[in-house]
Amino acid sequence: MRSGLLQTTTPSQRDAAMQWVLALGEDNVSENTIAEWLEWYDADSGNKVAFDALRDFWERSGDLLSDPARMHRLRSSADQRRLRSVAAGMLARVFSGLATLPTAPRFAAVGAAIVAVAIAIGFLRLPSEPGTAGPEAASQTAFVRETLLPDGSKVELAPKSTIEVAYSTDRRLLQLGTGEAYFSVAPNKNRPFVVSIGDVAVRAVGTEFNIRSAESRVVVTVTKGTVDVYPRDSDLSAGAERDFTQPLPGGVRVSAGSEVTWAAKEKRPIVASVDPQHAAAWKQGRLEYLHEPLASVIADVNRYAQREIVIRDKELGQLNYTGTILIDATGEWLHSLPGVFPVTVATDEAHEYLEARTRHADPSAPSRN
Amino acid sequence: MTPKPPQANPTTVPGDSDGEQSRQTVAQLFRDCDRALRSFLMARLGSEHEAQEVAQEAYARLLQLHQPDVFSHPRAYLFKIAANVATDRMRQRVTRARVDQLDVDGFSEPVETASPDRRALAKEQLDLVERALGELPPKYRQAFLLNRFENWTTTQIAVELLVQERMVRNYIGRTAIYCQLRLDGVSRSKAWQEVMP
Repeated sequence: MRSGLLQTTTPSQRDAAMQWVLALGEDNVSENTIAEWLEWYDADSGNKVAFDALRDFWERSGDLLSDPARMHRLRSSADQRRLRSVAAGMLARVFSGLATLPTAPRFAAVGAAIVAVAIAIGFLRLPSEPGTAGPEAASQTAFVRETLLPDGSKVELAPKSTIEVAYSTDRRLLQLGTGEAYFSVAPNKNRPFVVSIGDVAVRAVGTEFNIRSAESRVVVTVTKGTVDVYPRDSDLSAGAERDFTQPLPGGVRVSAGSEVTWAAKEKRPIVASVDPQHAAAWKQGRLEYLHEPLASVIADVNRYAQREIVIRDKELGQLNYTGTILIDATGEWLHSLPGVFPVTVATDEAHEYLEARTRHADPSAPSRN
Repeated sequence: MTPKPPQANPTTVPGDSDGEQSRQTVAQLFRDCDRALRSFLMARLGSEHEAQEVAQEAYARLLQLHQPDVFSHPRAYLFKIAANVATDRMRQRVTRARVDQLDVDGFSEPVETASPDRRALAKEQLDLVERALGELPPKYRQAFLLNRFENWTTTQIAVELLVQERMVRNYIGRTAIYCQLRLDGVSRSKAWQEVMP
């Protein structure tokens, strides 16, 4: 090997050389590409040196494969460090949020301001084992993401669910979009943990609870401790949120084994008692329901299904569903529905359509299965 | 390996002006382009030994061509022929690999995939490359490992790492450059400076 010669080339020669090594290694190389490469290669002796050295490295790096233990180390280091980099990225965003605050002295800003950090947890992925699963497998919907928040609280987020974190010094505020999440809250009476979902808020101290939000219905299930569920009111002072001696105005205080349903239409909490185990069954791959409107069930199932389920007839969404759905068998579940409800299922490439059975056949509708 | 200059086609009749012309042209090509040709073929085939064989075959085939337009663009023809021969080789390899996979009884001899005259990296050098990979940001290392050893395309890696494909090619390229600089004895901080924009 022309050892040490790579140093004599310029960074841009090396960059170009490496891009050519990759391009010429592709399965199909056009005559044009070859001609362009040749012109580049012949144009400058530095180009030649850089290309030859890097092409040589590229080939010889294959020797890394000869030691399985080494490859195992490399692969696992890549994965672990990736997780760490995700955590570091989140922290970096917290600090960049601080840095852009208008308040003059940085340290005062840390003390007073709200740090708004959008954590697109819904887009983070667990590491897939390279080689065992391609990107297609990695982007499939069915797994749970667990994220540790800066205060030690933990959020487990269902697929296609999003959450925003807006922590300040006097309260821990989170905003759940649609979807489902399970919260394990680190106790801190002086800094209430508040999750807001649409026009409802949930306040907790040292508690575990689940929130499911779909189709303008929010369902809060408490598995440990106590929470307050109350209408979200922008006039509510931080002081009131820190006062745990009584429930908040218009709200209800419930403890483990209770489920609070808040429908946008009624705008008041309905409390039922449940087996707390059911609430977070989704973390174990099951969705369990007791008298749940079908529209809300379908919204949940759509977070796991490969094809989006569309309810064609709105009244079907009002049907009450009771039962268990396995997250990895949502297709089978859907096709069993005609045995339970007066519905039919139609399918196309990307959707499954749920229709009332009495509905007349629509010639433009996709073929039925 | 020292390449041998191509021999003129033995069937060429002495004094045949076409044959004489092609022999001279090929000899000239060999002087001007051999390094580029072998470098190109090694990039395609990943093997010095095979690159050498394919280059020899490309010269030989070029000598047998008698179309006049060949010799107005001799270099383009040489590379075109070489690329075709290399592609045939790559197809043969795939077929051979498939046949090997079919043989579940273990009767087949293991196929020697590494070329015999290849300069292997010594264990110390491999240790150094492993260490160098650890010195790089995770995305660089990951893009390199997935592309080089798991046969992921840059498009697939872009999806996995949530970055643009152009960045993936940068990650892979700079990882290779960094590692080779470290192999050449460049210090960690100097190599980093050279590679990071």
